[in-house]
Amino acid sequence: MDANEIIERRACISGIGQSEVGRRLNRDPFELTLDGCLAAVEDAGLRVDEIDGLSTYPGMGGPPGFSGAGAIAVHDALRLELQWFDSGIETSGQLGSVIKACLAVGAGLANHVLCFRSVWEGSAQGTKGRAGVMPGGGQRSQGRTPGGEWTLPFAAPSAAVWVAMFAQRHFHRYGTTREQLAQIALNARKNAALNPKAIYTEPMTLEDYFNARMICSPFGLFDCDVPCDGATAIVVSRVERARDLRHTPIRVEAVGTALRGRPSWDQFDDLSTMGNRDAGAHLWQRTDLKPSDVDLVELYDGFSFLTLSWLEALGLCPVGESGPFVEDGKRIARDGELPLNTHGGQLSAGRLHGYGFLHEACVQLRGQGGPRQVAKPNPQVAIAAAGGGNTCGCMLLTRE
Amino acid sequence: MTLRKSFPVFDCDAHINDPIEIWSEYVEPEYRDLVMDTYWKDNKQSLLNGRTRVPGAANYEFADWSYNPASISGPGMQDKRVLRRLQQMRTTPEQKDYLDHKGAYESHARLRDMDLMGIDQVVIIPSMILNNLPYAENAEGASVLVRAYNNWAVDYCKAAPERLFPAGLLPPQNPTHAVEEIRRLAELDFRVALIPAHGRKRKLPQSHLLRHWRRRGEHGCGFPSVRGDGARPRNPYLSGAASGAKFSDGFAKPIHDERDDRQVDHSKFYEVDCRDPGAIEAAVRSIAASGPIDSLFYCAGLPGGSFSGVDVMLVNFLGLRHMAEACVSHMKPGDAIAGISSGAGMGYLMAMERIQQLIALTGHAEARTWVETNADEDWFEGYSFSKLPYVVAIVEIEEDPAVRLMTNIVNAEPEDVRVGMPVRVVFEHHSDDDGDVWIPLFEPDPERS
Repeated sequence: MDANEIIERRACISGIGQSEVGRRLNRDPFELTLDGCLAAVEDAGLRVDEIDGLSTYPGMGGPPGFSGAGAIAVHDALRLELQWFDSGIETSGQLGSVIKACLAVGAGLANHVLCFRSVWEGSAQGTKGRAGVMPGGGQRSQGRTPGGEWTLPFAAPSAAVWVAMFAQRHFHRYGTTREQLAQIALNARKNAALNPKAIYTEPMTLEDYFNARMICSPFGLFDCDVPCDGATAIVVSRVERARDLRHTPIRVEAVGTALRGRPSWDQFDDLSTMGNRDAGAHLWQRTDLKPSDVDLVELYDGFSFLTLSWLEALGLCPVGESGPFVEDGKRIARDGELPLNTHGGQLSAGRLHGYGFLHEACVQLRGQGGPRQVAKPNPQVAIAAAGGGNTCGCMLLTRE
Repeated sequence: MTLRKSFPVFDCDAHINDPIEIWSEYVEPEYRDLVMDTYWKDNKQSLLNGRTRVPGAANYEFADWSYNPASISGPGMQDKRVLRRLQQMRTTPEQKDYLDHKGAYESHARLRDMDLMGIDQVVIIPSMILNNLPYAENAEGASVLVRAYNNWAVDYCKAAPERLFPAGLLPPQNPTHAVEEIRRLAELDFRVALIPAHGRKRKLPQSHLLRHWRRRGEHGCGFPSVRGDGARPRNPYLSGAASGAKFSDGFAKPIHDERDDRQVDHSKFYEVDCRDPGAIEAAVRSIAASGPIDSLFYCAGLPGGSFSGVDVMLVNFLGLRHMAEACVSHMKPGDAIAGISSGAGMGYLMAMERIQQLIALTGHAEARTWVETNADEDWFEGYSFSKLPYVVAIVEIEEDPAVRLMTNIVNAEPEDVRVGMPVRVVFEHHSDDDGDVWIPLFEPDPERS
């Protein structure tokens, strides 16, 4: 492919920001969103009036806590003058919104696009936990969940049940075990201890992992991410406009957005890979870099199994072998060959829903991880991947 | 000031929102620690069994920009859509305070509200205590707490005793204490008492209460369950003391026929070991000797836990059946028999084959033999019925493998379900106001296994 056609290469990440993050902040979700946005703009060294693009996932709506604010609300609050804006939930995962921003700056539609993802699920769910906001579990679906008629009658209201089945399929097909899966949770918890904004930082042992209550086999409590409140924002800029900004730009080398099978959580042809398979493969088609060039990875762990699935989808290990790949816990550790989820993932740092991984990838590439900075010096290449099922996307990032 | 109207209005379900003073001022100081470990509410949290935070409907549980729905809950506000919109509505602190109707805590404010609404008289009912008390593990603590509540209620109603009536709260953990409290409340001129039940439409309580519900058997406590849809009888029941169950018509309040001026004697107690068919028959003969039996309310039961599975089945099912059969010949058409069902209820679809085996054995002795024979099976253990997980699966249709259905696997032990196992469809019929629906479930296919 002609490099000129890889439009995302014209984009870079010039600023990152995040509001305070907590289990139940009980703060106004809109204020939290703006905190994150303003932090990113400031980090980029830009003024608010220099932002001419806006992108977010999912936009307005969703179950309580799922979105702190949509694009229009932020556009208005910040009094932006935009050349391009977008929001939506039907896209290649949460990072689809950032990928679109890259395309917008690549096309010359905007110079600096503010992208944000804000959640307040911790406060919204309150003491009832997820059941309080689940269709069928606490509230009626009312057509909000696409395909709900095929899942709710069987008490399978959410991805917790569906992805659990995909994990079972992977276990059955490849012999993956819970002990291997546990490494994702254990690694995240270890890294979270070094992240001042992480929700859960207490050490977790394998015994703790197995003693936790089962949610939906094979997932126990620690295989599922922790709902929280927090807003994360990213500024995507045209490379030419970013060179004199505050930080060294993080380049977008390639993106993966493909979804080739049926876009269905249960009809997709290979349930053990989900759509991650296609987005992962797509990314490598758009670069000369190889999986072996990657220094660190931040891979979605809404459920621990999703991380295993991304490792395979991105070719970081052979298909079916993600279990053995993570088994010793050393390879994916902060001082290992392929540090993974260095901020603690969504399993321990909090379910910031996709953007947390991109934020952390940038922190690491900039060398700003502090105590949790990866041990290898000068990391150059990172991957941020988010999503699963029929909504997945990934980005290959390099330090300029 | 009352409105002019030509009919009296009586609200028999006038909730109050349990104020903190019930705990801080009405629980006797010497029992404070005990009640703190049972069910406690203060200005920071509501705590169940000393370890689980539960909703207490206190103002501090709701964000400053929101409001406390407990104090203004009412018709139409239970609709989930309305509730969701209300929960996302922003209020100022002044609005929040305004919406927190003081009548929920304080009687003079209540009387003003009643006047405004044209309500003449109310029976006040507690709120979160009803939800949480059934899961309290300590029977003595629960009894102390209900005393405190009842004493508070008396004081609340003193503002206007001809308009405010307290409903007495009884402790579900211990029938003996409940009876004692009934007697004390009668002295205090209470007209009605209530006993909170585990009454949820789903099989199990909310997740944060689950561990308490499971442990209640260990403490020898039970509690009544009086709601459920007709198809799936719900579980637990009042436990008796020690190893048998007390059969007492002091519990079963006779349905007194006004046309019949027979005086019913409430004071007879018969101790019966409900595991023993002979004892049941003897007791029924004695009762029937003093007159016909108008109704049977079989609420004896064993909660599993320290009781053997065989004893659980003997008391909870075989005893119920035997007693009902013994009573029936002394009853007339139209009389009532009520039982609180037990182990067979939970997950009955999965246990259907075994249940049918058991109920086909109509004699007490042969049924007992069946129970004893199966007593060592995994599925049989006391309350294991109530702990059955359900299985969700994605099934590929043989006639067109590109088509898959999300479904439940039924009629199989969860441990026996395997990826790739052959299954066949079983349709489950449901109907409601909108019509009939058949849900495709799948069971192991014996012909292709």
